[in-house]
Amino acid sequence: MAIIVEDGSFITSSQWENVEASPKPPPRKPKIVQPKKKPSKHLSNEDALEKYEMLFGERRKEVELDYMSHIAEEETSLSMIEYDRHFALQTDVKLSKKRKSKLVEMTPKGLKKRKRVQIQEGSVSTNTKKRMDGHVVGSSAPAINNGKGKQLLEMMGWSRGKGLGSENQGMVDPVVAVVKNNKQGLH
Amino acid sequence: MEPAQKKLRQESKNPYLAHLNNGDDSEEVVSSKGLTRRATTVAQAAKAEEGPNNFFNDKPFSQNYFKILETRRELPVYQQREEFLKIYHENQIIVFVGETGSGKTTQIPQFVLYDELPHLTNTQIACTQPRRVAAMSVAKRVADEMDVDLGEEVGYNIRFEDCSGPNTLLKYMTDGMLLREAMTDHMLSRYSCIILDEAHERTLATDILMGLMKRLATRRPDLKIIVMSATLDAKKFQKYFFDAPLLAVPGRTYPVEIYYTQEPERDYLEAALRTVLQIHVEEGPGDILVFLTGEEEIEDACRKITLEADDLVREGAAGPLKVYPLYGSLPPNQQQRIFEPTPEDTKSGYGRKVVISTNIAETSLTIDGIVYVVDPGFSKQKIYNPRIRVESLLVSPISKASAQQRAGRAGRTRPGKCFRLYTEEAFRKELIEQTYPEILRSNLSSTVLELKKLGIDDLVHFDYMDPPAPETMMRALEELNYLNCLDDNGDLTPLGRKASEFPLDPNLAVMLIRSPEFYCSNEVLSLTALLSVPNVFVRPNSARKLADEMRQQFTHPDGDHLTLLNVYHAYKSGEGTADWCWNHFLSHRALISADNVRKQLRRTMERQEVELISTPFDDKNYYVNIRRALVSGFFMQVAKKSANGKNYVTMKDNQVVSLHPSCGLSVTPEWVVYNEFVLTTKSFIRNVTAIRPEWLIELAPNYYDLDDFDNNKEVKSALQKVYQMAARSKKNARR
Repeated sequence: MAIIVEDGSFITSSQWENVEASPKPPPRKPKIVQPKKKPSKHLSNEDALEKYEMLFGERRKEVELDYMSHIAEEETSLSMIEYDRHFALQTDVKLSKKRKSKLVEMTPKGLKKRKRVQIQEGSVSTNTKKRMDGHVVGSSAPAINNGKGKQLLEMMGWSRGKGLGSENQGMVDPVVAVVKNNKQGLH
Repeated sequence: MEPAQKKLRQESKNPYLAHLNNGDDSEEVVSSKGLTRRATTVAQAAKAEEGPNNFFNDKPFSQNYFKILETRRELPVYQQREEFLKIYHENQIIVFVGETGSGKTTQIPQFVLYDELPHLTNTQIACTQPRRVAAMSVAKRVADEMDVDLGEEVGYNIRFEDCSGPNTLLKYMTDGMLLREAMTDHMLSRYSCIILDEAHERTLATDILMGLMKRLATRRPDLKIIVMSATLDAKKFQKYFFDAPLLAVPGRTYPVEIYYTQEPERDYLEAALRTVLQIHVEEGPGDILVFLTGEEEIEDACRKITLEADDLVREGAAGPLKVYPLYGSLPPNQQQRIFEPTPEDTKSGYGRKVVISTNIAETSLTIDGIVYVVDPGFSKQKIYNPRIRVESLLVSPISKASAQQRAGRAGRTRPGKCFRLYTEEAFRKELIEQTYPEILRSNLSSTVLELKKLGIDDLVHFDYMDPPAPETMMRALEELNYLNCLDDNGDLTPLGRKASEFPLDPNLAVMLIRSPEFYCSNEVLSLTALLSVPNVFVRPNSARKLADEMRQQFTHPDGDHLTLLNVYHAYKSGEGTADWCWNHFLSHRALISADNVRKQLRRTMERQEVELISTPFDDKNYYVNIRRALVSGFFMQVAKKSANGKNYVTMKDNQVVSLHPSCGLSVTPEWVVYNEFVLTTKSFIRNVTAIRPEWLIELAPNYYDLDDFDNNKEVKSALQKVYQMAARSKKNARR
């Protein structure tokens, strides 16, 4: 069995066994300490405990799922996926009649609400516009034409238009990144 | 007789003079207990494995050992042992291909061990892994298989942790660690065989290692090199390594039917959810693996599928379904859950397990029971742009090779199906053949420093497997020159030599080395450790507001770096239990890690004679000194508030950026230094601290030369004012 953790994190060998066997951790019991110097605008202890109860109490309410709960609910069926190989699946799968599906595209109204929620969450305003879909990162910047780095590379035998490598076979321009902020599939 | 013979061999075979051997032909025959070095047969090795005593430490084998041995011999790779040994004996370099799960990572090194007999030549066998946890877990597994203690005959070595000793014969290590060893010993004299595992992942360190191995192969004809890959597209490795022989483990895989959509999908996430539910209701038994791009998408999908599946079960329309997320930042105990057994079938339908993963599941691990794969065709990719010095983390189409790899996951236990949520035409026309290796899309400053330390001066003609773009190399050289790690001739300076001893990014290393000038090296040491580990703050979806409130307790108004220090000081002041971390929404694992990193870096500081010193905490300059030290390393990562007051502009690259939402600054200062410039949904700077502009011209006068800012009038005029103020204050001081 392998455990995948991003670079930089690890578990010491003595902890290895414990990790696998660790029981489900208990709910958090945070302590709210009022800062001494400045009167705080944060929740009072009572409000914090109430919030804690709401979040972790046994009879807690169902927490709103961010912006999704604002999207209008409407009944829908899974449309049939057609394939060009072997037989197509013949039956539509109708979702539960008791619960309405939220698998709908966000309406412009939903998008607006989402943005508002994001702004409220941040401690600092994040009013800059999102990068446009299809925007090529760094496309407005010119190629590096001067500087010590270029000079040093030329001292090692590079010249404009060439790649690096034992036979100068490398790519001449850096890899490009393109912005994608939607869920559109490949086409 | 045996001990005396062994001692004689040790004395006559100084490993540091091993490269002076003329070659195998003149080498003395080395043998012990029925095995002859580099001439062992499968039968001989198998006999040695059967004991009754351990071949390497002479202790009796346990009963568990024999059970494991039986299991090992059923792995696909075991059938290749004879052919492997034949090719190994006849060649210096081998390319070995085996699917993930074929057993190559654990078995090939053991085949080598029983043939190389490194204990008789006082050498070691190295096996590199791209990931730390893989190196640890595999070493543990192999130690169990060999019935030895971890850290004895089998050990591991990863950044900031070494679990090996004088008896270690087989060492698993990260590719970065082997590179660091090569910086000290260019000939890697202590190894008789080096195995580069997971070469297909094409990590930066592995690519550099391959360049080194290629050079070393001609200088050390005695050294054996094995390159192991999980993909069948191994011709590139063969060609690169002088057309080395290739040995492939016949995969224990079954055919996979590929399904495409007839039309492009309007929403691939919704399509993935529909497909999972449709598979669950309509298809035969078998688990499902879905590839999505990141944590948010994955958690969203898990939630929705679970809700829909619960309703289907309640209505009796389908069997039970269990959904598991899998991504890198998921805690280990939750990652382990993907290996839980599949739910039992019911009369309503088949029980099924669904794993929703990032591309981590393409090659890095094996999940048995997967029969259906859903592939929307995207993954998150990190790409560095040298022109504006930004690292973007964006959703991008996968390559054809990745798509093939994903499909293969469906055929490991029986014939399977792969549902590609894109058209066949898109597959043929839109997808690139191979994923770009890391070396083409990374900042190369650290790498250039490493290459210089390795004695490689000609960075233009070095034999890269995939050479990076010239502009990326230019930017790396320029940054190192400004940091004063490289001089104007491209040679290492004393500071650069020192910086290369630290396993850190150059700017972090320079900050640490210069910190005694500001009387705060203890604090900068802690800060460096904290910046080297994953995020210490935890912000679960279920308790975001509370997590933000707890974080407020640690927040320092002048910046995030000082906030991190506050966290560390609170953690170390006796409060640092797991419970305390849990209650305060901090990662205990990350803090333990930071503490360990700190110890290691402190040792390096002592070796490099970097003084450990502090300003008294109640001194008014305590935090100012730390902020100035930050500038000494990160002066190239400074942003100024733009004229409209809403955003920031990076100094030389002229990029408009926002403070990341996690930023804790209470007032937006005029000038800030930042740790990271990332483009996700927007351009963000993260880990930000307020600074004073006069520190820039004081600490980095070369970089802040006014002539370099002609393309940015606003910034230039601001700097002119700073220069004037500085001149005026100097005048006043003189008066």
